[in-house]
Amino acid sequence: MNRTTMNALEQQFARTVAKHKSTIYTVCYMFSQDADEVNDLFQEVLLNLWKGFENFEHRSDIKTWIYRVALNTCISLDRKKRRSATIRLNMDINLFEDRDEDTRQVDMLHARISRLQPFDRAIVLLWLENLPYEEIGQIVGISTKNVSVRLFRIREQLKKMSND
Amino acid sequence: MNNDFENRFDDPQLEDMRQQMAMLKQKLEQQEIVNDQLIRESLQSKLRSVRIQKWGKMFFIFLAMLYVPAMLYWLLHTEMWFCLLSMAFFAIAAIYDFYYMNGISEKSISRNQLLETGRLVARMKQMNARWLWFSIPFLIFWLATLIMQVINSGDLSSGNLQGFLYGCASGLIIGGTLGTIIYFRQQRRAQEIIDQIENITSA
Repeated sequence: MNRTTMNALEQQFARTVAKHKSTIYTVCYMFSQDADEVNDLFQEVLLNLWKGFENFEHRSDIKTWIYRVALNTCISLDRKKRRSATIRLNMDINLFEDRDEDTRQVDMLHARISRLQPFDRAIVLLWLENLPYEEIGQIVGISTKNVSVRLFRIREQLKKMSND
Repeated sequence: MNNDFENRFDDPQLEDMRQQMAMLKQKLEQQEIVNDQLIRESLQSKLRSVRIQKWGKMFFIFLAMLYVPAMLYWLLHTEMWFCLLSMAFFAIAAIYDFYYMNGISEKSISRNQLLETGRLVARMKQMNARWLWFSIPFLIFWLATLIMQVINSGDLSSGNLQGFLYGCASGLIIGGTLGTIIYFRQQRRAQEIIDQIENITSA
């Protein structure tokens, strides 16, 4: 690949990431315990997106593909081998430490989702993002009917948690 | 887009979560998070570090393959077959590590569905654990043979021999304990993933 094509691809990639930054961040945030881990995960996701970007076949929506890569990265990354973050994300807020009312609400969401098993966490996250059951099924690898059964069980689990 | 049936749960808690999610999205949309320069810096640095790690590991294995047998042969005067066996062990460990324990491939991350990736993670953890089934007995045999050969060579004085034996015993106990802990932990983690997958697919 020549330098001009590479630059064009890099620019296209940067635009795609900028457009979907909050989607990527949300997935990383829900699979992390602190800001450093979000940094690490975010960069691992960026790397995996970049490696697959050139060969992305546009058979599915780019957002679905980004979810797929982000969730696969979060599920497969070995937390024992803690990566060193090479960049600091450019954020004025710290969702793990700020204490204003909005952040407290977001923190409550994080606490609820974190208590679920990783695969359930992924399913509920996709549901909260308003993705149709069919698309959730495609990303996770289960049938549409299975998604609705699973979501029903997750709802029961969440109810039980709030009663504890 | 989601239809109403899929989208609605008559549950205040889930509706709360939806609102909290919207709040999170709104907060994130107001943030820059990454810009072109950060993306470039991150990618370059990550790609460099992946390359360094890969070559660093290969260099270390290559060095160990030469250094350990050489040390065994010239310093401890063990037999040639034992030196070659040690070298072969390093080579097998390197090949096994490269093919089975090296993480999930970029193609899988990019194309697989989440449960398929989960299965690969579970498989990798099991392969990691299985390696210990081979490596721990081998290392016990290796250490026993090393001790026998050093004693038979008669090269070490009684004081040095005692120190050597203490060193071997400590290495065996520490290594064996750590190996066993790692084995059970990895098996448990793999089983947790498999259980979750079975639970989800049987719903």
